[in-house]
Amino acid sequence: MQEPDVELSDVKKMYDDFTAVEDCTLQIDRGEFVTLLGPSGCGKTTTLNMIAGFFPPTRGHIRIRGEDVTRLPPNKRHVGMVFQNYALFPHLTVEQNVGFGLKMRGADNAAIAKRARESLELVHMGEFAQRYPRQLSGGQQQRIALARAIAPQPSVLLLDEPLSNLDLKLRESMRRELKTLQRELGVTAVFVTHDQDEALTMSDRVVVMNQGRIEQIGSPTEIYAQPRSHFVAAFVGQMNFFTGTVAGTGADRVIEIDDGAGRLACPDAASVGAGEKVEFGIRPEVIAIAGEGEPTPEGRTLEGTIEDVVLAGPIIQVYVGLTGGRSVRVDVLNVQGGPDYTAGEKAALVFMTDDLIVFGA
Amino acid sequence: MDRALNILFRVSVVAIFAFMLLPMLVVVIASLAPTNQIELVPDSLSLQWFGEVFTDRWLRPLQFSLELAALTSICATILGLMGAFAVAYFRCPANSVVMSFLLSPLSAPQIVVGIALLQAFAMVSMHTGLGIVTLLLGHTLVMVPFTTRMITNNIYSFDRTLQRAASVLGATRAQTLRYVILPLLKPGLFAAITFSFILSFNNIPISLFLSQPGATTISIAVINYLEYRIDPALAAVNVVCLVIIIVLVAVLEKIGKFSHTLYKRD
Repeated sequence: MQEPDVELSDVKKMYDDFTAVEDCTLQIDRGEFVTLLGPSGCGKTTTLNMIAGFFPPTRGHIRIRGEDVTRLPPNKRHVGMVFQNYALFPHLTVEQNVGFGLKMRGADNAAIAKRARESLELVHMGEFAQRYPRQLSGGQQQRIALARAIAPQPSVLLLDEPLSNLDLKLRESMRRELKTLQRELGVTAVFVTHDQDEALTMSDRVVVMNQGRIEQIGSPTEIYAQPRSHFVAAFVGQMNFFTGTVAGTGADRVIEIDDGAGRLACPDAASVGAGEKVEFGIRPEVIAIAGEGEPTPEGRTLEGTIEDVVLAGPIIQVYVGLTGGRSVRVDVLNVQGGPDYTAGEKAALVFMTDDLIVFGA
Repeated sequence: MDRALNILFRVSVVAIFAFMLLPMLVVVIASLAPTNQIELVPDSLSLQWFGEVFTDRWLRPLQFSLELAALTSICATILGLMGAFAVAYFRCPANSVVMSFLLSPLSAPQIVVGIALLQAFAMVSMHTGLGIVTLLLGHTLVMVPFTTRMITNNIYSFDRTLQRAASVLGATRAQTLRYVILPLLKPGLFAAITFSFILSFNNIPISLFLSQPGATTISIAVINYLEYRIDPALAAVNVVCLVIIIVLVAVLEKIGKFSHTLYKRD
């Protein structure tokens, strides 16, 4: 069993009376890309800053490659960091910025220059070595910040929302590039973001945080398909939520949805019993709208009326109002020759039982 | 309408510059007078009065003022740097009190500060024989508010994340200071040096009380001379001072590139 590269045990951070992070236990393996995902104020940046060493945790321990660094200052931790605003040194050239880490560690000039050039080549910025940061675009500064972080070959690369200041197109291409580079270098990466797309597309594992606590740790697939709480289900991707009451036993269990919207078969995996109040969610893209003459099996169908149809590029969002007023979003691929949906028409929504994600109420 | 405003704007800019610079032009013309009368429109021009400047009577106070201004600007800038660091880097509820205290010499008229200093120095028997020391103390006292303010503004203008970036990259606190903070403070330091130099060089109220025979600034020498004579020699002295200041500002700006800190934060 390989020792984890970064290990947080029961870390807690308090500011006066405010608890920023609590019960944070996390192990990150060498070469792993782990994302801390959550809304602003959830403690993800605080956690990252404690790994970097900008302030100590109130309680708990942080280890990097087995060494307890809880009380070590940032300059003794040998981590690399990319900041949201890049934080390039304005008075230094690109090459001096990238070489800064090695210079501080006392490397000789030839070694600094060589390593700086290599790092710049890795981010395809070789020809900008003699420029100053202010002469570069946001995307270029981003690359320099990355080159500066990796030049001293840190044991861990910390990334604090590094893509959030870039425009959408650039952000998407940088995601892939960053991920590729991280994999090539084999460096352990901890990435902080509030953008679920970034988290899902780049990570080996996602840590979803809310109000200072870890809600769930899992692969992007797990986080998306098996969210363990309402919060995770709501924060990652789109989700239709329902509340209802369980009736029946064993494989015959059904969920009677509140407000008389209908009943659906309960997935076998859900550990809920008769009479129990439950909440369940279902993703918009796994719901089907039954066409003319298609089957609408009992226990897998809800009837409703189309309220609104929104074209969102590759998908069409169809909002269907159920009996009792509950509105459900259904995402349908926008394919040529596909069925037309018109507000006011009746629609039957067909579900696959195993797509229902059941939470305790 | 825009056009009218634009013209009004240009006219007022020219008027302001004229208001500021024309008196200097008058001094320059006066210094070139061929007679011992100060005339606005002289018949001919002569450099004879500049010969007067380069005598011990003026060269000694001139040299003294330059030495005093140089020492004052260095002392006031070092103290200002320390004060600015204290206020900007130590998170402390009393920071605003400390800043007010550092700025407090501004709140009393300098002439009052001058009298107070003279009495204080007399009480501790420092009023005689020390020459430049009492003047240096007095000048430094009134310059520290300016230098503190300028350097504090400079510190607040740059991104604090840079220090974090440096420390993650392995820099110790001393290295962060040397390779990141001080280079970024260069404009503020040079602005502080330049302005405290000029303010010290031109200072009258403090110097008036603390100057002594053998330790007289150029401003006080001019005032003493004025008491019994007005002639173009004074204008010539002024022109020499003007040239010294202009050259100094130009050189310091060339090295320190501080002028942008005076009108924009970046």
